[in-house]
Amino acid sequence: MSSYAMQITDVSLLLRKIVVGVLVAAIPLLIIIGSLWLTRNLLDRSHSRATTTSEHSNP
Amino acid sequence: MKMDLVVKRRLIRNVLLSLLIYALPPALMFAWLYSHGQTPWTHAAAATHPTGLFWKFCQMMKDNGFLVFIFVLGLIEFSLGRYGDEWRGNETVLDIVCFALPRLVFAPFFAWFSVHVLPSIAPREHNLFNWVPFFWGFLILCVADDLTQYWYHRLHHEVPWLWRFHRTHHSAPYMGMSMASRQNAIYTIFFSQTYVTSVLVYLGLGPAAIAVLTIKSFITTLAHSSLPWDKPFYKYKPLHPVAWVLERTISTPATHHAHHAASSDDGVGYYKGNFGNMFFLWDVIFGTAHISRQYPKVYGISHYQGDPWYAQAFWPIFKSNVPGSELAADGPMVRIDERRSTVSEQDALTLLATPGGD
Repeated sequence: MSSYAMQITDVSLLLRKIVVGVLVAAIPLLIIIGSLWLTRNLLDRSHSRATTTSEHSNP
Repeated sequence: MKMDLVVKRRLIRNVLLSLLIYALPPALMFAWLYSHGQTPWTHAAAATHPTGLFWKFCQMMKDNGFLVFIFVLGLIEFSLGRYGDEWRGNETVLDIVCFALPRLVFAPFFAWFSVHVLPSIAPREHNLFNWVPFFWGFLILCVADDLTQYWYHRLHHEVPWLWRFHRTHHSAPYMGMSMASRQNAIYTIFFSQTYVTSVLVYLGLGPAAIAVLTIKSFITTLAHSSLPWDKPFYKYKPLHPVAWVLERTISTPATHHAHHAASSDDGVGYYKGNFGNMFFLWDVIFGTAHISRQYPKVYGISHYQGDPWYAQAFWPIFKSNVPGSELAADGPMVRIDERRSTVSEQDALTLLATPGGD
């Protein structure tokens, strides 16, 4: 086999590179998606609590 | 070749700080919505589409306007002789291939990823966050896209076994608008920030992404350009305060050309840092910044001997036939010049982890 062709070590290098790329993308995505999801949930909860309180105080 | 311990520790500290920076725009948005008592997802028309001149400009740039801009910029650079004698033969072919590939092959691939792969993975999450106000979406994407690219880029410099995927971008002995797309195909196709932005667009931050990518394209192209548009800011004293802010915020030709210098020893070049693409702010925050307000005399990699274009564009699928090249089948992972051993011990330690240059 020609030394210019891809070797097993090249394939392993490529796979490791893909893993690094996936991690570099996945970590920020998890943080951002998680934060946006949390924002909506927390505000929804606080909004519904405020609505309930105002209903109780103004029957 | 292993990464230096000092570099490794700094990397870990900086990564931890980055996690906080990623969370900052959503956290600020939460505080703003909370203090204003707003729940934008309850409105009938949740998605906010900006209007006005800037938005029209962004749309125009998206519809081939940017292609016209870089074509005109390239013509100006070429007619001013900014590429010098080095831009011929192998280098010309490589630059043209690297310019055409992302537009003709990778763009359809990324479109396929957005249109077919994402909906099949998360069919119900389409436009899940289209309630995010444009301003906040813009801020979230500025950080998400550019900080991710900063890390992708920095890792290819500081992790020795990743360097050869990025070497093509640094091998040119000249600077110019074509340098922005001169990348190894594997490096480009696995660009982490492209996938981050694609996912956020799928989740409903499309308009903000168009605005961010328009601004980013201009900044990164002009930072690679051989036209030193930032020079007047350093030359005229009344403009110095503007220059101070500008060079710490976005990538300028002075700071980014320093990153492409062949040497880090003259106080101007600094290939060991200045990794920022749109924002230089990341380099300032993480301590990888070097500001000199000057332009390097020599660009590229000192031991570069013109590896064939196909090896530079498609390594490791194709290898270089240049003996001793980092891209050759039996070449070193990172090639360090012997004369570097005369520099300080600390510099030598950094060199072990920072490939490229002489």
